[in-house]
Amino acid sequence: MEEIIEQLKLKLGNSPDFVYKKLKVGNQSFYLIFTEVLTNTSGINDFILKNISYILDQPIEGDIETFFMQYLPDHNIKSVSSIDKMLFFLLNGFCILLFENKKALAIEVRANLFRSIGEATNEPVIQGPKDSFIENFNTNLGLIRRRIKSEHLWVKERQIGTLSKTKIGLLYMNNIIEKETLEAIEAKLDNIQIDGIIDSGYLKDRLEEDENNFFPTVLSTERPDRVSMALLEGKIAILVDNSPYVLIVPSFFVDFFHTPDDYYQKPINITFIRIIRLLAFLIAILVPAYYIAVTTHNHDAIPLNLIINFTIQRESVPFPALIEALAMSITFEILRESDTRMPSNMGTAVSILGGLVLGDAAVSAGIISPIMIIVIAISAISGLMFSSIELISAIRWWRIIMMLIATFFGIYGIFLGSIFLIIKLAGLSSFGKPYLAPFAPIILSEQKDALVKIKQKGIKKRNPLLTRKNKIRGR
Amino acid sequence: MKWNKLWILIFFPFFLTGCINYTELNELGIIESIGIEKKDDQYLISVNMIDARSENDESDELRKTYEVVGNTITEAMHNLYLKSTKKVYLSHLETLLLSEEVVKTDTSLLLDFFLSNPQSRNTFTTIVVKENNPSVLLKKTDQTKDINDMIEINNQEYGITSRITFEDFARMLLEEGKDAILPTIKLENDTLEVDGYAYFKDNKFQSYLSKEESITYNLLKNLNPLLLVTSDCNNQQISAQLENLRSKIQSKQNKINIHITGSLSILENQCGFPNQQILDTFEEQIAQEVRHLLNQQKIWGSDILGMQSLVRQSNYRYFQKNKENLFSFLSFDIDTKFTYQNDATLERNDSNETK
Repeated sequence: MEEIIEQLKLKLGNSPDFVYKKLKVGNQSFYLIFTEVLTNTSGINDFILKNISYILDQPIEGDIETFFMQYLPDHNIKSVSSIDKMLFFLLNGFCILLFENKKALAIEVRANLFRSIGEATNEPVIQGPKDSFIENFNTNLGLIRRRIKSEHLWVKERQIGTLSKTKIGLLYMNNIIEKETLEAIEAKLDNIQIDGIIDSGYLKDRLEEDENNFFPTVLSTERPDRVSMALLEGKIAILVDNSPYVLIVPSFFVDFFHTPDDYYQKPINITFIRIIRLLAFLIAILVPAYYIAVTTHNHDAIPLNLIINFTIQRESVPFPALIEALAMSITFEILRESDTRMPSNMGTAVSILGGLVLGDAAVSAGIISPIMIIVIAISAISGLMFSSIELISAIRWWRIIMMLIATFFGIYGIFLGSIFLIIKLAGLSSFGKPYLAPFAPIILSEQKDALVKIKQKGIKKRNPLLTRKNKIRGR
Repeated sequence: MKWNKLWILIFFPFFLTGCINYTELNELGIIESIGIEKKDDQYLISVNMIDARSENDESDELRKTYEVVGNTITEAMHNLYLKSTKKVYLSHLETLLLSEEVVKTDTSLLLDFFLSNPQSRNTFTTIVVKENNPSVLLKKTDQTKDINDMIEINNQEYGITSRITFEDFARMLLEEGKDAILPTIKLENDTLEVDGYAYFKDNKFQSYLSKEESITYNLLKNLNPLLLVTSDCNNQQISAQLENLRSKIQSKQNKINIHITGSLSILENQCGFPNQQILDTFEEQIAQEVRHLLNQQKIWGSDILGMQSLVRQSNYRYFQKNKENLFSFLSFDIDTKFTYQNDATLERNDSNETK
């Protein structure tokens, strides 16, 4: 027994948060081992220590650990035989009871280190459920199970991270999904060699198929309703312990234009909003480039009165349009980033300084033309219309690429750049599924819920790319 | 190897364009209007250029007028660089004002300059300046910037004139069996005023149409959306408005059928004529106007309505055989048919109510 304790101390570097308490009750002596930071100490007192003396008053029948397992009032008690297993349970918030016969029991007495379920901060909805995932795997799983009370909702667990040993859960509807997709995801997860998975973002990076692509092919969400919808579609959700974001695969380009709100409101209104989102996507990428193109190459594309306005505004600006646009874009990104990182009580100061002082002063000083501020502002605001930070980043990259192309080749370059963008998007796939589906390839049944949205009762079929065995909804 | 060729083909267009066209907006001298006239056997070109250097963004202050002289239009335009600090940019040219002298001589020089200039979009309005020189008008930048609007509004509400682009003008000059026509403006008591069309014969300016003839021309060309007509009866007047005007001109060898339809609303009826009589009066009046313009065409020898072109299209063999003296062979059958739409006069409405 002492030998095992020494080994544990050695392996754990004699860390002070681990408690090795030797107890002697009657003629039985044993060790109670736990870490103060992961366990609920009042639980150890109430459910283990208080009961031990009572249990040991009983005549012991058979092995002592089997005897304890029967009498200790805890739902999760496991018999542990190796030092490695002991370490695993210790580090997962279990308390170890080590007996003289070198046998041990791991009793779950985890401390509640998690926040309570709160509202979604990055994907708010106007109408619809407000709850969002937290950092607790079981709570997150519970939020989904609460929505889908079906025996077909299966979970496959595995550990990833040689040091972090993070619990990863694959959730899917067994009666809907394609087995090949599940196997492909499992194979990919099994091949991940990493020290630790601190957040689902670590996995997202590994699951992306094309590393040289700006657009996200894995959807990350903090909303349980969105995950539940995806599961019912035949997609697979990946839960990562300690992460409030759940990954959804496969994900299509059009998924990033949809929000859970889309299913809680009238379809006709949703169609309008989706068209606006698509327009915003195009505006975000193309408007600064188009402005540069028409003010440097294709002046004839602007009506006379507008070109007069542009000329007046640009007259005192000493920089070329590209430098002006890049300066404004970079300023905006700095403001956005500082606003994100800065404590909220300083946010107002940043807004005033950035929005009013910098913008107004830059125009007054003749560094930036007012029209360029409008162009970059429209483009930036349009780019922020999406909840996926990866999509926002992709838009930002493509905006800069288009601006560069427009500077050298004008509107002709924008057309070529747009063709290149479409080719790039069409060449992407998410776990073998074409990224631009249902537009390329065209899937007629999916058009009912792609750009336009019809009434839910009219959407009878599931996406044929996601399921082959259970194509009709409601079965 | 095959892929290499494909990549070269895809990227080759990039090298056909590029920074060679790069011009920042503030380096451009955007020309809004050009006036061309003759001065001592040379061309005097007046240019209204947008000059954004002025801190004052009042629209009149923005326009700067340059005057340059040259033996040809190209040379004169090139001489602009002796005065301008900006690159001359023609794409946004909105108005071309031509003096009578310029259009009286060979118009082919104009065509050569504008049609061969890649910057020129040829959609600018081309106008003849009556009884004055364009340079005088262009100095009145507060008025000249609105010439197009003036012509547009006159066309919609009055019907004397219509907007003719340089492209239309060039087509009229180059097309066989058709003579050109251009809108005109004049300076009346220091104020710009639209006037009747200027007509051409053999690509040279001849004279002007009267206001009535211009209105009839627009009517026959379906350029009048509506028309105000008046008629006398014993020193009293009848006023009516013609709407939905449609004219159809068809040719059968030398016989030209002109069919004009429209709806008539009575605005003032001092004569107390019944509706049918008013309809008959105006049908006859319009027919007379048309007949008059057709006769004038014969007298001038200028085919502004393109009757010869019409005959050529309908019967090429007949046209070829008689094209030397086609005008004298043409006979016209004019049919005007208006429908009564409503009566806006109070008297008539009162009497209707009494009944």
